[in-house]
Amino acid sequence: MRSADNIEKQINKFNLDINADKDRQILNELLQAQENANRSSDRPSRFSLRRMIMQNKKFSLTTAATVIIAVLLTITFLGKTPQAWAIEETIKALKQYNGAYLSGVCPGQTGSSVGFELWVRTNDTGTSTKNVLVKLDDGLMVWTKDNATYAYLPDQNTVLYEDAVTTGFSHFLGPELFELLSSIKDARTTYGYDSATGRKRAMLSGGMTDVSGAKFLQVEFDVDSKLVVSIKQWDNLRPQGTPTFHAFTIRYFEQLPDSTFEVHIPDGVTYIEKPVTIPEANLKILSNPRYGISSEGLTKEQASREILEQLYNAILDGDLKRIRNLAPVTESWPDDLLKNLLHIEHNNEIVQVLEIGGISRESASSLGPIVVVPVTTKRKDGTVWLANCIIQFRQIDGEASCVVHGPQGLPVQLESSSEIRN
Amino acid sequence: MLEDKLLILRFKHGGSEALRRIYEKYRLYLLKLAVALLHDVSIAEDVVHDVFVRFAQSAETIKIDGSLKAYLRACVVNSIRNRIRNNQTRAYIELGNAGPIVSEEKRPDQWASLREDSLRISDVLIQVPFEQREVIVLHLHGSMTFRQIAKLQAVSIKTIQSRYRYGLDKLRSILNGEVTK
Repeated sequence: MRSADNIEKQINKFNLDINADKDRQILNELLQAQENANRSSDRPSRFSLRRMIMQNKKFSLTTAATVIIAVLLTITFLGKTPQAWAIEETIKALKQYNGAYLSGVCPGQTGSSVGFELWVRTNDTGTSTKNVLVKLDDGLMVWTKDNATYAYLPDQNTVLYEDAVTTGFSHFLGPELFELLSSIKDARTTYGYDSATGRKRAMLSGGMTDVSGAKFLQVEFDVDSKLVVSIKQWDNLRPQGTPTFHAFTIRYFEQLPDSTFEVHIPDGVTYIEKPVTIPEANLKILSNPRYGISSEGLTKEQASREILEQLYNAILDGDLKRIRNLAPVTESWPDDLLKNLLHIEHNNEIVQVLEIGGISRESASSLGPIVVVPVTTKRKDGTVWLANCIIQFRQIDGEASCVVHGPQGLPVQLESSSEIRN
Repeated sequence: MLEDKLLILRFKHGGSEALRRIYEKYRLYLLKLAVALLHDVSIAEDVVHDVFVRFAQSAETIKIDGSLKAYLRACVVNSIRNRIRNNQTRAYIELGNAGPIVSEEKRPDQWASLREDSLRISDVLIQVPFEQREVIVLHLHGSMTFRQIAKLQAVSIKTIQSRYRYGLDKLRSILNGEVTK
């Protein structure tokens, strides 16, 4: 006789296989059905939501904290894989670390300093940030998942999200970061010894303006391991006032488990999409008529494609002057920094633009409309990368024109060219 | 659960990647459920396909208060109930009349196929009245509690427990009969 338990076990064995070809065919049908439905519907609700967010004072106050965490990390411009440090052995030694834990202080939800803990993990090749989780003592949490960034604001029981990785390290906390910071204009390096351990330390400091605005960084490296031991950041070009980010404890890990990045938030939270914005500090240079291209007679879609084609042709040609003209935030960057960040003359430079997509998001700054356009490129090593480029439209003396502001967040490595988004 | 909420949000904003993930995450679960309830792979495929197509087209209007999994499951179960109510498919087959499941002969464009040891389970399940089979399948394959099933079927939890018990008894007698043979 079979018991009830045995019957249940037997029924539980029930299973089936899926035909992969048919499966793909059905998925394609669904994606087509979705696209058709999207096309046939207008989207006023998205724009009303955006207006609501822009007008919501609480929103701007509480997002400040998330931006502050993000600014340190969005130094990149259009793409970056690490360059080799001069000492090959050091590189080999560093390969064993793919995770780090940082703790320190930063402004919390009310603007006063609170403690934070930050966990970060790179992808398998160590070329980009895969996961980030930041927890502030006041309950605010920021994390990245599936190429998007989320911030949980406990006071409002709200999760703000944006479809870009705006929190993360463009360079892992080792030689690549040292090399990048060294190429900042007027960067200074001072050497000394850690009083507690006697180990040699290098303090690199410098200010720059990138897509997230002005910042001054002070990063301390352990000279032997080339690993970062502390980071301070101010949101101005000189170290003025209280730092907006200060990590004074950093530990490195060979592996961090997935569970480290699991996030648990209460049920019933409200999700709000964060609008695309351009920092006020960058609007001045973006409004200069010397830069950009005319968009007279072109739709936003056509003008975006035109300026991005020109920009990427300039990158492929290594034409730094043209790059600075089309993307003026880079105007003050030294040649080395610009080349470093755009991979120009790099052993893993961009070799092909695979696709310049359609406008994926729209917003506005005080200068005029902003659009986001995905651009997919192929690197020399065959890897495929996606950067969401922000383009600012403006009217100057009655003439319509546009400039490239830079990428929204960090570029994302796609697993294959088949992942290219429409 | 959290991931699903984010997927829904992205899906509502037109994200094709979100739809792809939702599909890949739940298609096998829903197909298993539908095949177990229907004993007909072809109809089960139609049901799940229809549910996904309607879902893909619904980004602007869809409102999911609970979990995504529960929502999709309810869509499949309701669709099957409608079909049975409209006599579009067999509610159950008497003992001895259970023929081979449709998918035994594989069509070239077949989406799902039952594994060999599952064919017999399906043949046995179809001999249980639909109301009882539904409780067994939703509980064992759908991972639903009796309370959730009671809510779905709008009956008391005691009724659901009874249907489960009677269903298992029926299965036991069928399977034990097979053993005796």
